[in-house]
Amino acid sequence: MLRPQHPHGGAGSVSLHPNLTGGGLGTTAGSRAPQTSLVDGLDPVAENLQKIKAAISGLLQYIETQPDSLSWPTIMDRFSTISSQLANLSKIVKSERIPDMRRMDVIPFLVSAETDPGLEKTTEGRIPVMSHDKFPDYFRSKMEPEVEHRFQEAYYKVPPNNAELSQKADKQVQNLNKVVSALVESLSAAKEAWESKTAGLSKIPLTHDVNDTNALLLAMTTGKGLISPPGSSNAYPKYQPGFPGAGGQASQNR
Amino acid sequence: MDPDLKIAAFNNIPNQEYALFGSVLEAHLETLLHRLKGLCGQLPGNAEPFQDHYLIYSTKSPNIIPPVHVRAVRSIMSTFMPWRFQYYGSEISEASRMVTQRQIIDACCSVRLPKFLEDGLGFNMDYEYILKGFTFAKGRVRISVGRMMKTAHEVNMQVEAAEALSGSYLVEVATVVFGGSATNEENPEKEILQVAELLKPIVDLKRLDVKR
Repeated sequence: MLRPQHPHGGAGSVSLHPNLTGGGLGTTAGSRAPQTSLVDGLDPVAENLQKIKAAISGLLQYIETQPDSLSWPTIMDRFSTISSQLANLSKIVKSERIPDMRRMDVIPFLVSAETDPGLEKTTEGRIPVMSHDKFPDYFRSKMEPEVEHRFQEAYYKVPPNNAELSQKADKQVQNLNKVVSALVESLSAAKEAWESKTAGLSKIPLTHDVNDTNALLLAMTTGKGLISPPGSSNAYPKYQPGFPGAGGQASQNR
Repeated sequence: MDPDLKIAAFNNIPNQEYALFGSVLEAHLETLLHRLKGLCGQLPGNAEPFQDHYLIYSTKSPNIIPPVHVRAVRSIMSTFMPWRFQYYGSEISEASRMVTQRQIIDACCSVRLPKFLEDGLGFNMDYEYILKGFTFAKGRVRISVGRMMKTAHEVNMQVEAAEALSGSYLVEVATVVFGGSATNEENPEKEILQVAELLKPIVDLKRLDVKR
């Protein structure tokens, strides 16, 4: 069943045409779209709604008839089915083939106290009579007066738009913004200073050379660079047995 | 002479040396020395200059494979110091370790070592160099910063440092653990790494890798 949404609100704009013949309900496109295309477009929506209804009733039946074998995963499965169907429905409603239903007027043609078999059939037995008692529930485009009243009450509780108060709040916001921007500025300045400092540090030339290290270690361990190539005149300086040096003197001192 | 040098008697379990090596460019030597002075304090023996003459010998005989290398070291600055005999074992630390660990035998000798090695034991001298620089001690860690020089022989048989081998100074950070095993309180590897961390980024110290 469609929930009629009247674009202009206000119950007064719902016009009644009790003298018109035909079915209990009639729709007329506010956007002047041809009625046939509207009905065609509504078919997939109705189909989807049927499916959702079936799924929900299936779930209810399952819960009611097999309370002992209820299992959480099964229920979650069914819920996910229903939710995907709902998503599908909203996709269809939003698609271009469906005319914008918000802009349509729904007008009851006939209000009567007698049973309407056509209506009963369309609504699957839920609404046998479109009476004065029922139709406000189905054609309402505003909230019930009671609900509306409660909303009003809630609105009254909101503090009135006090100019002084809002000025104060604005001032505080401005102050906070000032403080925050000053902080951000000083932080970024510090960051810049730090970065330039470290960049300057990295510019200092290397204090050591890997090649030199390796050359020195090789010289120490293998004598590379220290041994003259064979054949040269001063290869292998030969130490005489009487090599003068600390050793001799040290032993003499003992 | 190394103030922190500990001379161990020959025992069954050789001493272990933990060491890291690096180099520093001559232009930044002062920076490094300044930092080392700050790190090691003003105790006597710190920033002590040294000039040591190293002679590296290997076995003459082709039967001994691989040849054994030993070093004879003496100080050129002080003629009262005895010759030192040094033997370094091959590296025994695993590749994943951060620090070079190897056997070390470092002993002072009462004999004239080159003569004894050549004539008495049949070693051949391979090469020689002079290391000229400064030593520091931080705790049990010895840090030496020295320049490797080629040798020049004067007429009167005195050895003197000639040209430098490279524009960099060799930096060595080492500590020796006696008897091969460190006790629970000592963690030589950690000590070495701590010192190495303190010398960054002036020197990038790394373990000895002969293959390189």
